[in-house]
Amino acid sequence: MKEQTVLIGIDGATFSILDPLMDEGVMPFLKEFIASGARAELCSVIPPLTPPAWTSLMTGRSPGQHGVFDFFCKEAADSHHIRFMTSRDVGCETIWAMVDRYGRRATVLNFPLTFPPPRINGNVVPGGWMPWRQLRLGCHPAGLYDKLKALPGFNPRELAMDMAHEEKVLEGCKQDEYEGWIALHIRRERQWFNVLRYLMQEDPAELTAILFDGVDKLQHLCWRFLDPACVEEFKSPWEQRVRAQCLEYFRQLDGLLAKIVHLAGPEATVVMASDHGFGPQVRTFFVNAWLEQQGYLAWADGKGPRASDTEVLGVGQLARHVYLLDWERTRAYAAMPSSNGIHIVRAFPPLQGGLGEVDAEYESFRNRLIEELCALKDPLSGEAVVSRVWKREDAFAGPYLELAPDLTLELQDGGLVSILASDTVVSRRSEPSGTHRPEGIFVAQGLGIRQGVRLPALSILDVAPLVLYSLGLPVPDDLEGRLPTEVLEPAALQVRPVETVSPPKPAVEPSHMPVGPVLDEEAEAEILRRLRALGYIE
Amino acid sequence: MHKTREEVMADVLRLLGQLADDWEYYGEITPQTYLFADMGLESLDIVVLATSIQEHYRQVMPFPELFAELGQREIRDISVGEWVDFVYKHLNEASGKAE
Repeated sequence: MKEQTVLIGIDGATFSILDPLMDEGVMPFLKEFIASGARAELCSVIPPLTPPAWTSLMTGRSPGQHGVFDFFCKEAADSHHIRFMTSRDVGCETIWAMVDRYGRRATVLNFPLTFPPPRINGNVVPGGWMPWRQLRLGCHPAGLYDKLKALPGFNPRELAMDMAHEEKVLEGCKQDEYEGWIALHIRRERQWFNVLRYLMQEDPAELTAILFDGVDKLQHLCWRFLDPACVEEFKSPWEQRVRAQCLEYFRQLDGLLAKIVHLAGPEATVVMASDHGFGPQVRTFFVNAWLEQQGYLAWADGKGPRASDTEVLGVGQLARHVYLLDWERTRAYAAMPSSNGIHIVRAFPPLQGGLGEVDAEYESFRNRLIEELCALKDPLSGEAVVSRVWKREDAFAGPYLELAPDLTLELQDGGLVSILASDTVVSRRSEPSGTHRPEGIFVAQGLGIRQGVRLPALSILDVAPLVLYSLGLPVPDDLEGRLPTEVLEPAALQVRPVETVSPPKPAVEPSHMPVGPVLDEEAEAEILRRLRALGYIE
Repeated sequence: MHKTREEVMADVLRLLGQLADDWEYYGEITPQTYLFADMGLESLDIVVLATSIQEHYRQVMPFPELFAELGQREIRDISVGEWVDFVYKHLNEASGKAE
């Protein structure tokens, strides 16, 4: 076999949590690995969210180019309906497809937006929200699922998403359920490792990529048990037990990382990366409540969805904007709580309401919204609530611009907006929760990789070129990411300079084909539960 | 792509039978079997199933309309037979050979 590279994704990993864990001896392998490799912060994309960020890592392109902005997308530019995104929505070539194009093999495990699975030479088990009952349909090639099913201890309900399993401990997340929930994620990472080990041993590939997503989930729900700034406050035995269980998760993950690197062997390049970082969120910004207060949004029933309603609404919750907004009186709304986006309503004849088709009116309204958002203050602290607002052409320039939110917010505390109605626009959280930050992690080790260096921040877009280079493949010259030569020994670059190449025109143009059906109300309700479980919804 | 109703039924039954084994559903699957009540599927399962059907036939079908109609029913469920009818109708509408 030619050059081998292992890409280990650690969803949401941040050095602000990992460094203390390494110092405390919880992750001795990672500490040693970093000491003999190269490390850097990895700057995520806008928004720093799992689907767009991982898609950027696996394509070397920004969301405006690959078309993935969130877990969901609008059905069409002029539609209010949203639908699940699938692999068909990824509008440019992934590194697995590039590897395949050069006649190499790839194993791809647990990455989002890999269902329907790409027909590459290798193995794919999709991640994200792949329901466990349908996992067979997501496995590529045919016959892979049966091989996995024969593995000792294989449990698809733990490997893929089984909401019934997670709900037991997540609905309300009672105190005595935390430890069981963390234990589930320890088992899930082991399940993925077992699949990886089997494939690395029985059907090895030049590129092996695996994503562990428990770090993101733990940090969303257990931030206060992980953040060194909060740890000393623990008084109760329960808090200490949950903290210990969180540490056990990271200890186990460290063990799995060690085994993977051992399996890869000394000749392999190993790259570890996260899609985004993490930090505390201290306040809640009810963006739709603010839009209502400003006179830009109206609820059809006059009150809109409240936090207290979320358990009983039951249907149509995810797309409740479609059912609950008064479209004739609404000019702007936030549809999803995951990507901090505001959509401006433009109703072209014969539709009524919105801003109509006059571009000048749209631009003027959008500028006014930005100005007013930036002027909004937290009534308690006097701090600005919104630190930055991107217009879509500034954040998402590219062929999928029309599907992107008109405005994307960065909140001062790095948090996510709430899309619920509320009597107050800004409120303080009783305790900080974990939320995404742009600063993820990058760590690499292998032949030609510099040792023991801490480098300035890299872009998540740079990972794809590095992976291709590590495999001895040319880097397409139209990627937005660059080969981060500072990661490499100068001598290695001299021996093997980077080769760039114009990519071939794809045989089939990216379709953005809506193979994912628009969500029905019951599916939306289920997704809402998952979003809440992941910490995206109050 | 033209398929007879019997061929679509066979395709769907084969797919469901294969999947049912994975989640240890051992009941008989017939056109009268309900996906939610009998087989225990959840909404997201149906969404993925619809995606897979479209992939299999390489054709986009108006599943949103089907799901919207399902949402209006007193009992929100769909039988295998109805699912097959829907696929058969739209598969052959596209090829202009609906019977």
